[in-house]
Amino acid sequence: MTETNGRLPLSGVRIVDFAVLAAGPAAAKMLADYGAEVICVESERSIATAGGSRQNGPPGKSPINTAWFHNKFNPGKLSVTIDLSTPQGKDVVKRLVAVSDVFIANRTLHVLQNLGLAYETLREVRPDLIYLAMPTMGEGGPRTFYGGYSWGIQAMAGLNMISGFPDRPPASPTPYSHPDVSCNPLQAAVAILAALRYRRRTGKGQRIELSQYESTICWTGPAVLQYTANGRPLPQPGNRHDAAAPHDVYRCQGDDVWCAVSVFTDDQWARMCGVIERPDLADHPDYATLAGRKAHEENLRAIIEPWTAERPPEEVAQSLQEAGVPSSPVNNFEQLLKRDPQLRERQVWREVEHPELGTALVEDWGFRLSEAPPAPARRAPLLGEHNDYVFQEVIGMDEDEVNTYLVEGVFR
Amino acid sequence: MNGSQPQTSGGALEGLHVLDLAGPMGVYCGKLLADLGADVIRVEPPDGGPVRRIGPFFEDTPGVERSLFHWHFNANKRGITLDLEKSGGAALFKRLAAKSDVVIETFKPGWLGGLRLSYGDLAAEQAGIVVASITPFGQTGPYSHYEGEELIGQAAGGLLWMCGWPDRPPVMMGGGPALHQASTEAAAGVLIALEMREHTGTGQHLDVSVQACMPLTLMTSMPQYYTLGELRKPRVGDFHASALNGLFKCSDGYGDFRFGGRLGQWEGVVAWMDSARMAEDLGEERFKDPAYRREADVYHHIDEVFQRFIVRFTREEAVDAAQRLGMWSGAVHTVEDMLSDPQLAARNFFAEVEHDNLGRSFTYPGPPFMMSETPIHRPRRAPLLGEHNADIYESELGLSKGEIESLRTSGVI
Repeated sequence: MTETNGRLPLSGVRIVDFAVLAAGPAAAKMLADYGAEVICVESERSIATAGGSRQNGPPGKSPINTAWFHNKFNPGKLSVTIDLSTPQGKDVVKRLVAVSDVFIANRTLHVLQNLGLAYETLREVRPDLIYLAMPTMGEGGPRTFYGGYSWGIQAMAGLNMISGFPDRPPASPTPYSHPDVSCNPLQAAVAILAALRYRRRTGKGQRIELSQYESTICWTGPAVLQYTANGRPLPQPGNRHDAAAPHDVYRCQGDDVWCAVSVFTDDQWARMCGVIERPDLADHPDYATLAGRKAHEENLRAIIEPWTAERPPEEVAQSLQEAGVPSSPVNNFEQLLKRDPQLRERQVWREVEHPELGTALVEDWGFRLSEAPPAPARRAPLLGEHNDYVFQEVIGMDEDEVNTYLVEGVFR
Repeated sequence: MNGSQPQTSGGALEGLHVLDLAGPMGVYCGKLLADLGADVIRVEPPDGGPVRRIGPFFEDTPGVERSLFHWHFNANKRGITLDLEKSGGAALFKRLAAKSDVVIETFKPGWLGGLRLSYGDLAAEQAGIVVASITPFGQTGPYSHYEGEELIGQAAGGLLWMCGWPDRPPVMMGGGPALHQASTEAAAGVLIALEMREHTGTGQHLDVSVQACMPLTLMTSMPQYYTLGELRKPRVGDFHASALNGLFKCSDGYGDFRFGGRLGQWEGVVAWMDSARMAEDLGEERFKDPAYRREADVYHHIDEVFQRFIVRFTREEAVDAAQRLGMWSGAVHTVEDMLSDPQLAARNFFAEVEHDNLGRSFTYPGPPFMMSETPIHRPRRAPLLGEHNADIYESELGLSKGEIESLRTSGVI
């Protein structure tokens, strides 16, 4: 491993995280995990009125420090409390931005302007600032005023119409607001990293605007082209794939337990027939070719499930994979966290001590760098936990000034 | 206009040189880097490889230049052919890599090493190289040699179990969420590795597991399961587990409506319905209590009344009005709907891409974000197979015409 003196790839980059819930905070978390100093600017007042990331946690506990969103998307960050409804608070945030590299917000333009946090304002105090705005729709156009949970965004971006069963209404493909935990934070992180590289080469910062609607459409490219080039929409596919059969989930031993199998080649099918104890079907004229299996696709469940239903999904997947047939258990949370040996080997989840939760679960990203392991697992910050450090050491306020603002109620 | 020449200036990643060997699960990584201005060269086997064999196809006819999957994901890249397994192929790739910053690949772990093209082999020639390896389960561990693509990635990473309807088996999400998740994390990882190279001068090996990219998409379910030990109910179909949350039918399709619950919002929604005299009994005092509205028979009733009301409007009318009341909603669009969406039109989102070889242009998605100083490149059509062989092998690598001819006759390029 290269000698880096403990230096992480983004050491020295300071980020003001004025984002809430998932899409903005997740982008900032990736940068924190690789060494950036990420400071969440929060306030008791906005939590009381809007909740944000610090509402809804385990029953019987105050959600302020135990909330699910906060603990999933803010580990490794710092927290300061600044009341932005006060003129002193607005001034303090500007002083923080003046010594920072990146500002991230997923609030509406209107809110940011009212708080004095528009790009034009912050650029005055930090000319090479990299500023990320993540509006629902983006500036310009008749629907700029839309607010967004990602359920509405993904519906507008067409994801509902290319997911699920053709005989069911086009519901959200997942129970979650998917773009908040996929295209929007990940593409935001890429944009910030690209802007950091450009700034290093030219000295110039810039404003990034990620329209969550447009960013989501960008993850549906072939569906857009199917319509614009061929004049037809892609169908709702269920679990089917034009170039594979079987390509579905099959019931395994237990209640609501499944295994996914995808067979793209005739050779994989022949090997699968051996595994599921149906060697008679390897050369069968109805099933030996992809065309045959597509023509008889509705029969495949009855052929495959008698074998899978008697076995746990891990055994099904392992037997198929060892024969070179792509397969996986349809993992639920228990399987992911406690049973999957591959995820355990990669240490996707680590436990950290937490003063109010006892221990908390911290989740890693899907990539590993050979020379830069992620920072040691750190919990999410308690509300205002880093006020002293940020006000005195980062911004450079003296003790008298800090005390004055404390008395005036600015740091709440 | 030559539709194949990428723009060469102005992007945030201008000057970055990328070799893209990726198959389907990694092909969006290079596209993002190319959109940001990197010079991304597709290195494809002479027969075109797997990405050009993925549908849908132009006019439903397969062919190496007709895959819409290839058109989209390889837009803004240049393309050369190179058979890594033929004698001289690996050596030629090493010469290309020596002049590059990044290599993106999706082969089975160890396959490139067998050709003496592992990260270590490439780094020996070019210490700054960053190699991004995107595989279903990662480079090491008990499943590292297992196979998988989109469906397997969604299953192994936990997303699939959550998706669908309570009375049916889990159903995959369309659009390729696993391929995009892995490819985009890979792009971020590449840029993080390049930041580190600024300090250390050396590159590194990036190991992306499609499976391990997926738990992010489970929102807060994993911490909740860890702390409470309860499995969240999977597969909620069209929602409707609380008042005004889920899919409702409008006169011309569906909308996804989400009642946010902010102060005064209930009264606003009831007043809206009442303006058409369709609030029925919802104006009664008892419905103002959020706890009352959480009772199952109560929220089912509210949803029925709202459904009778909302079906009189088009999707766009209903969603515009709901948004004005702070209900964060969205119309369920087809691609056709998006192409005529005045919001996207006002922002000039979609891009017309000239396919000079076909004598016409096609509409593509525009950029994923905008940057004020460094424009995101509008897509240029994907390279034809081997289109830039002469440019790259001859002009940039300095091979002679004779050498190129001999590589061509021996099937290397």
